[in-house]
Amino acid sequence: MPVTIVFLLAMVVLAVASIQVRKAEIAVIYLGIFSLFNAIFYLFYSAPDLSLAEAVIGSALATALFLVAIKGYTLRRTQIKSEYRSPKMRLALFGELFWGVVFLTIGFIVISFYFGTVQDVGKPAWYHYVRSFISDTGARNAVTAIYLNYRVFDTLFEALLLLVGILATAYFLEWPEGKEPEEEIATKPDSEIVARISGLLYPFILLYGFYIIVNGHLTPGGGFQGGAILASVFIIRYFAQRRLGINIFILQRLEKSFFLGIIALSMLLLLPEFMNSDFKVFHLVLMNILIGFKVCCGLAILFFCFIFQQTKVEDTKGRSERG
Amino acid sequence: MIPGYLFVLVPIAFGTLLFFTNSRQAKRGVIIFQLALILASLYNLTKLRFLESHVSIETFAGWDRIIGISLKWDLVSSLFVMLTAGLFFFLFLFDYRGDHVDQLFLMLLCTIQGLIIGIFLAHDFFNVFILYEVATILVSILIMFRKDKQSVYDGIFYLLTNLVAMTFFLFGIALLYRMLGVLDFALTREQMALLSDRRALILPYTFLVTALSLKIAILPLFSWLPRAHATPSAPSTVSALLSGLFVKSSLYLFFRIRNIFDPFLELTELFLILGWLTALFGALLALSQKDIKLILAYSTVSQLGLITFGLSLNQDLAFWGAVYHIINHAIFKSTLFLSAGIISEIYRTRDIERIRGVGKGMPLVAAGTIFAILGVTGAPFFSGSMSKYWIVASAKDNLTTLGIYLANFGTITCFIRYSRIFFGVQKNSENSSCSLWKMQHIVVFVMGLFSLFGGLFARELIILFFAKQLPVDPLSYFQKIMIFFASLIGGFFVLRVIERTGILKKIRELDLSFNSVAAFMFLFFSMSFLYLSLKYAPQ
Amino acid sequence: MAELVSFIIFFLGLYALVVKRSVIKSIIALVLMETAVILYFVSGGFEEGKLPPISDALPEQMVDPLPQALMITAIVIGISSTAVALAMYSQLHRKYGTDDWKKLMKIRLEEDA
Repeated sequence: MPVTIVFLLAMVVLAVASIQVRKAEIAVIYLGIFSLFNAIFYLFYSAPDLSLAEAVIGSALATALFLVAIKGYTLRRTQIKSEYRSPKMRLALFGELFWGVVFLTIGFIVISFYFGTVQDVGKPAWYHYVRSFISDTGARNAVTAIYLNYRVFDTLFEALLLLVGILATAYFLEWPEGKEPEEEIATKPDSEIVARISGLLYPFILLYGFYIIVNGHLTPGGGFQGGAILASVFIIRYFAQRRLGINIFILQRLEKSFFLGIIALSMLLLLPEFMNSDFKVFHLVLMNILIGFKVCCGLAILFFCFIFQQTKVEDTKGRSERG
Repeated sequence: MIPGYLFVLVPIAFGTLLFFTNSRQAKRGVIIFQLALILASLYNLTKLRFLESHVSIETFAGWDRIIGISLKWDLVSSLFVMLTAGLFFFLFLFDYRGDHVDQLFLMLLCTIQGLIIGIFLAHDFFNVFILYEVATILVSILIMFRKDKQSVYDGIFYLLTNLVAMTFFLFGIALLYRMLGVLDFALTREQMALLSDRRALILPYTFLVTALSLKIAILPLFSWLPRAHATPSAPSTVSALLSGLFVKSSLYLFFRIRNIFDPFLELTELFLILGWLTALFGALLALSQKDIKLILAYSTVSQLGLITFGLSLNQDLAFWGAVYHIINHAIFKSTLFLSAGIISEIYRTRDIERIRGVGKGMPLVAAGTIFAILGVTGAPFFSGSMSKYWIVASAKDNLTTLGIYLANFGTITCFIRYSRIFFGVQKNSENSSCSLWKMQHIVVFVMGLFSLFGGLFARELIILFFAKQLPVDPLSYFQKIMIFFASLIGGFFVLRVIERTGILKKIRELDLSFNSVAAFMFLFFSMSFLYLSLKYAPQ
Repeated sequence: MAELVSFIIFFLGLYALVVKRSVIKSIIALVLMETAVILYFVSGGFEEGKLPPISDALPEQMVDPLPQALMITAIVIGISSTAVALAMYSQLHRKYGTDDWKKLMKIRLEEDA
């Protein structure tokens, strides 16, 4: 397939660009495009669920986080130039060249070894899943069947990881306790037009997010992807109106409650007498909804933590420049 | 049997629930919860002990192992689960009045308890991976808990090195799944037998081994560990937890994954050498440090090397010796870290040269610490001596035996230096008026007693827990005692000589930047790959 | 072809970890490595003409759903760990004033002494 080859080449080029470009912002943009190409590429491999997840979470949200996080910390262009001329830098360039040769050699050996030895001895798991997932779980999408039923034990930790990651971020970025952060962040919206148009957009995004969540067991998508789409509503709203519009502490509490709900709900799977065929489908939908809400809360908190941090950094900077 | 996933999920759910209480209720609740957990794990251990096969495999929600996730109880893992429950009980007790203890801290500890138990029980590659990812992020919060300048560097260093290791791990899983089509440990092994060419396993094994070697801090990949375990501002319970328990879960996992691959690919010689070098080098670095917490952390590196060495000897006796040493090390190293926490808080310094007279000022803490030191150095009748004895006893040739004694000699010398803190007189006495909660002293003392207990009743305990009869030959044990005292005397003199040369300061200043650690990871990966592909080259 | 590219990107990321001295570049390299593994997991062993694992297709025609389910998990893991690393990076930058690994190590060693 020539299309896939074009995509793959573009991915390699973008990956090289994102590590070789000097300015971090531009590197991050390349990384975002790289993820987007990946997301489209997964479609060729019949992985629509994954494609959606990579597009929403890996490409859009990660890039936004990167950009917000490094804003204000990156070097000025003049600084970069002066660093590049120093003799130390030349030594570093020599080091890069040396390691480049080493990596090329070892990489070549490893890759040729891989293609020389790789073999298949069957796919027992695949065989079981595709034959029985509809009768086992009631889902029409095998991916949902796996992560909400067969391997729900993994999904619990996935949700936990998101919870812990958010706790860590909020903790490291020093959310001021007991303070109402809304006032500190609130500034004037950048543009009236953006504010108006995004106002028109919310209902559609919300609707789309809910659709993805509720139909996760039938069509590509599910709680994680839909939750991320819902979270984008908060983010767009922030960019349009420059205020959070929701109390972050309530959001944090909600996230933890949803997480407990997910654990409790997944425990129902252990009671076979509960899980008749009607309840199974209901269970899947309910799980997806809970996960969706939890992910939505979590990602929104994540984003606002970084935004808040950024305004704080700019504040102190502005003050020191004035003073 | 109480199902294993409850042991994993209930602590996590409990920890999350703590956010909805006030901190007083939370502290009390945690203690009661830990007691319940100890009882539950004891119940499972006894049940399992009286099972015919000593093994119990359960699957989540009753699905077949091919499509679901299974957990495995055997005698070793169930004992480790009980160890986890017991150690956490002491840690929570120790920190009951700590001023850093809030709901977040308790939640993090409870969650990591669930995760550690999960890693001990897990029987599925991807499940292990995700448990580790969560644990890595949790641990980095714990390291940076006070957010001061030093711990920020230590935290991000820990986080990034371990995340890189986990990508290696995931790549290994991906290669395995692509070839074998299953993720369950036992099924993977069955599928491996179907491969026509075992060289196909070399690449996945190398990826997994590189990740695990970083996790168990084997020689070129250990520089994250001392920083993470001994970061100055982290609460001493965190250091005790990381050094005592958390790295043991990696060690246990390393051993199990090695067992899966063992019939097809062998890396034992490599790990025998690397383990020994780690033991020696770790002891040398421990000897050169001034910070008491860093001494303990480097000593952990050294002991981990010794355990890896024991596990790689490929003999039954050495295996049980190493497992017993894992348990012993968990107990005495956490005792040492807790006591170091008390000492550094009272003396307001961690510099070993400025701490004197602990024996007089805090008799209980000193007694507990001395027991633990006797344990770690392998003094007769203490727990370390028994486990080390079994490792030595299974060494076939003289060279291996000599190697172990040499590594132990390093540990002894380093702890001779450490034990100077008990003697002498404290110069500025104003600090010692600071009174700490007596309970902490008692906890340290009781935990120290365990290492005496574990040595006196080692054989009985092994029969009780593992249903194994391990021989102890009085003559060779006596010989070992003699060697211990000889090393003790030798250690005194070596220490005198070394301290005059000033070489210690030079060693202390060795450090690796993140880029060098990444480079070492790459080199480790390529070396073990080349080693395996040459060893199993087609004739 | 996709397998080859995922190997290349993985080693590229590792190369960046070794030679790039900026912390933010290390985080970017880590994301690249994670993406490479995801790419490998999905494309490894894929046969032409297989359909998405949704019930319209016949079981024999479906692609293996397990890697996809696992990799959704990996993506969520990726975003959380990236967020934590970025949050730490911002702390690090504020406390040390640099994002060069070598300089950071030097400052940290001085702190110890």
